Amino acid sequence: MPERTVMIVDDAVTVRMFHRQILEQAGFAAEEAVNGIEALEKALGRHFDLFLVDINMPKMDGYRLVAEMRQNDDLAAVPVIMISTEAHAKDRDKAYLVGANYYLVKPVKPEVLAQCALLMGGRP
Amino acid sequence: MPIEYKKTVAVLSGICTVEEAEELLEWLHAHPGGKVNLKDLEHPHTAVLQVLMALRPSVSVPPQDEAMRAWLLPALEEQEKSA
Amino acid sequence: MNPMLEAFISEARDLIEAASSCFLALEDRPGDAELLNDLFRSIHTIKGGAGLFKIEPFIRVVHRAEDALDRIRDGELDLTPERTDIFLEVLDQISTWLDELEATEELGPDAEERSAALVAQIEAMTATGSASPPPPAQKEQEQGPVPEAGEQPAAKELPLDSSPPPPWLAQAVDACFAANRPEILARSPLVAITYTPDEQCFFTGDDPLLTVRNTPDLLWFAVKGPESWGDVTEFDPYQCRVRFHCLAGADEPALREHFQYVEEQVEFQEVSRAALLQPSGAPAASTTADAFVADARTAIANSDWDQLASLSRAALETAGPELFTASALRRILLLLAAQVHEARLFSMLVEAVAEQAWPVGESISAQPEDSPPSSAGQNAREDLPAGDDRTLALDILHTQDRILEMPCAPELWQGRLRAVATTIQRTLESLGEEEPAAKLAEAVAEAIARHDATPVRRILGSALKGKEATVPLAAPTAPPSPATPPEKRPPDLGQTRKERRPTVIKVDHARIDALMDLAGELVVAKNGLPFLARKAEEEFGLRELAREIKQHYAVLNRIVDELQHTVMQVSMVPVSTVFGRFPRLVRDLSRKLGKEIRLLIEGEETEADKNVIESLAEPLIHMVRNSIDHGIEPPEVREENGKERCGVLRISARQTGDQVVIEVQDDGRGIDPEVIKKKAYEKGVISEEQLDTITDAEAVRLILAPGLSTAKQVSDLSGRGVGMDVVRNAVEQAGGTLDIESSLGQGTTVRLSMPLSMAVTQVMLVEVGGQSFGVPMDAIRETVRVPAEEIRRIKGQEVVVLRQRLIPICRLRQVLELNNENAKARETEAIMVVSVAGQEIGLVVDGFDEGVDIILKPPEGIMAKFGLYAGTALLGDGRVLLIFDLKELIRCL
Repeated sequence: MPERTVMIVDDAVTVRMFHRQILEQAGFAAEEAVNGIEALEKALGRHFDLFLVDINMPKMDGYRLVAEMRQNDDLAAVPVIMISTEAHAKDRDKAYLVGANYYLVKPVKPEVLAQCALLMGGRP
Repeated sequence: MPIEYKKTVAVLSGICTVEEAEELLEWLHAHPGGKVNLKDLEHPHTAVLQVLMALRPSVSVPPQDEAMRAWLLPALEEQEKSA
Repeated sequence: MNPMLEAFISEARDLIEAASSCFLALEDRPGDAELLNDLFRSIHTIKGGAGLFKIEPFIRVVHRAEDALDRIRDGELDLTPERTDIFLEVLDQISTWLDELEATEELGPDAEERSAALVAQIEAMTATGSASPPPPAQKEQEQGPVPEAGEQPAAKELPLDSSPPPPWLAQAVDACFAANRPEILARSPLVAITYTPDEQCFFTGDDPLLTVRNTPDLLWFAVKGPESWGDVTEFDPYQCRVRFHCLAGADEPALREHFQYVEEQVEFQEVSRAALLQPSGAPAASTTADAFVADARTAIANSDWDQLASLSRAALETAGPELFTASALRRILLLLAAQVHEARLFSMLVEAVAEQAWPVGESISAQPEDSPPSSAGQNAREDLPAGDDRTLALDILHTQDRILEMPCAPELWQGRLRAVATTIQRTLESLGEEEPAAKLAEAVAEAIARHDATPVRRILGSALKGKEATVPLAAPTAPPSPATPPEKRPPDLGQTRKERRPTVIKVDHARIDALMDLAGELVVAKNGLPFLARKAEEEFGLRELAREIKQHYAVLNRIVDELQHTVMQVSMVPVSTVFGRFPRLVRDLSRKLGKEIRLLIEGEETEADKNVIESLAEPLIHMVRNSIDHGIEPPEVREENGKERCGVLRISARQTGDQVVIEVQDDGRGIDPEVIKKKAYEKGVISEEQLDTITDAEAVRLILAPGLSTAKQVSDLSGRGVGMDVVRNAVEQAGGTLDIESSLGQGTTVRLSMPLSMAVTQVMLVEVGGQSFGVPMDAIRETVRVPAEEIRRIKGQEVVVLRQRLIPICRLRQVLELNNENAKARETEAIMVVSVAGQEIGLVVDGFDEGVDIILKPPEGIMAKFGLYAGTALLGDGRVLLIFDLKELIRCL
């Protein structure tokens, strides 16, 4: 069985590192991108099972990235977990409005992120 | 876990779900003076809780769990006081 | 160190730098949306990273700063210079903390204190009204546009209990006293939650009681019924009539998240300990507690808590239970039980008994609260209602349903539906659902065809219905304790870590230095090949071999050149790493000195070796300081002199050849050469004769001489700061030169030249008395041969005129006392014109040779005693070359 793949999109290297550790531990192969544009570039023509997307990023933020994904035939069906330091309902709702599938608040508990990714990333 | 209805006592144990509220209410209406045994109650759905609060049956056995007693008994007592 | 912490420190430092420059740029372009966004994001990202570590004081400060910036970004507040000051202070503190983290992996012992002080400052500066009323503590709540507050004194006390506490608070505390649950006082501040569920909430699958019981860090809660349940025979069990009062210790964002789906039904209020302690009840008609008050004051003064406890217990027995006094006494006892031994709080309560009233507007100190660490998940942020996979899975499914309910932009609709379907399918599979894929695919197709998500929702609904009834509950005791306390983070997840594809690697600078040295050695070794070729040809007559060696040399030469260049590139950093500090320095100093200064920075992208740049930092800061301190005049003085109020300080960098030249230029008062001359003469730095002949430019340059600029009076007179010779020494030690130009009343320019790299020096070989010496290439202006008769003698000094310049001549043979038999007069003299500290001088040598790259080794042993030499170098043929230190050479003349 091929490994499941996750794209981690966050402009903070520390956060990417943290999430990568958790997700790799959970059995994912992780790819990283520092903003929406880079994520789209790296995802084109490749298969990803799951996206983990930060909101506040330079160049292209998480909302725009997810909206772009939902309009892109290859990426439209890929579940997205938004992850942000914002705990407000309005941020969460905005994430859902543009097409995210779940929302976690940073700093996330490792087991919660891992469980979430396992549930949404599909069976290996 | 469904509520077990004995002659004069309804035994609430484990988790009582929202569906059980109506049944409990009917039983309490049908058995004025009926008591409730809360010994093994872990969690009543809010609907079940408010049936207990509104109808105020006597509690034959309070919950075993101390944390549970700490909020459940005052909730039931408060109603008695204000009644 | 933990690699994640390391990454965080390095990242945060970059972000701090970025944020600082944003702040400074914002002073020029106030309100620039892009800058504000960048700034906000920098701070935001720092906060995000910090959240991964147990550095609460750090996080608190960054969090508050971010909130404040958010309001500034939204135009609610202006970024005044005073606010900028505080933000910069915050950045400084964060920097310090990062240093501490780097050194010890934890914050310094005073972190709590510093954090509290900064938080208080931020609060004060963002506080709305100036005097009264205090700002609401609910920082997260929507606040209307806030009037500009103007100057705010930095309050040391944080008004936590500003918004009126919920009316049920006193009741809650009394209940906790009755139940002997002092823990609610052990922590502060707490959040009071009033949750009034929607009457219809049961129909949407809510169980408010479950939500409440799963509240993060729940300390206490009570269920309240309506005033009256009405006719119980008509009672509708599916209409929610209860409400909840909760006290939780978690921070507000976590709580807001927990209650997010019922947000509009919940009220949050931060309550300080003081607010919790406010007694309730009717005041006693006459004060009967005088004896208690007196004894209690003594007990508090002596920190005799046992005594205070027994006094309070005794008094409580005699006080009417509904009275204010009893309520206060219960709070004293509760505080004691919570082991919160804060004299101030006890005093407040005892005085309240004496006065039969609670001090209005009492605020509680924001100083660290010595609360004992709570066992259960302090600071835990619950991302979700605690639970197992199943709870999470159900929440995910509910969320998908909710998403489908929400409106959607038409271009996103289909994509969103597909993603939701994928999510549902995978989640159901994880729950053990058999083959949901086929059903879902059908539903999705149908939904897309009808442009209506109902078919998908129907599948979801039936799936949820089946699962819901068997939702296992989280641990029924409040509060749910996290399986992994945050301080355990990051867990050791390293074993299965996959190969990384880093775009940037960090290398210990020592390794680059070593690489550089090796590349340098290779240059020298390579230089041996031409000697070998010559030897092959001349001594052994192997012309063919010599040619081949030369060919190989050419190849090797190219590779080594490239290698050397590349290695140099590796350790090249832009001067901006040093220049970056100046905006802040200039801003701080000018504000402090009351001067107006516009800073212009040019050429900050100019690169030089990291070592060079580092050695530049100190001298440059000194130079900039001097310019601000002594060069640029106060605005009033400038106006009087017909200048613009605002002085200009220009710092520029550029590369010339293998030198990097940095200029610090001000349009200040300049240096008076007459004053310098006089002082220099008095100090014996120059002779009487020189006093007459010295040019103004030379006089100004004297300020760099030792023994002059360090003299205090002179520095005051000259308008230059102390220690220009210290600067010069530092620069020269690093292999650079310092020059200064000034015109009185117009300004001063200090020019600093440094080699781009310290590793390899280019020298020209010259022959003197049959020996080879090296002259640093960058000092050489030209080499000429002039007829001997053109060398003239003026005032005992040999000079030569070259292109209308009068250049003094120095015969190296004499200086070096190399008087060999070959000293007979020649027809032409070989003269190498060098420039030293802005002065040109012609060196008479026997002959010029080629230029070579060498690695300069500082003179050692006996050579160190001869000041004439900057060092030695090994030549390719094994000879040791002496390199002149031209400045010293000229001094010896």
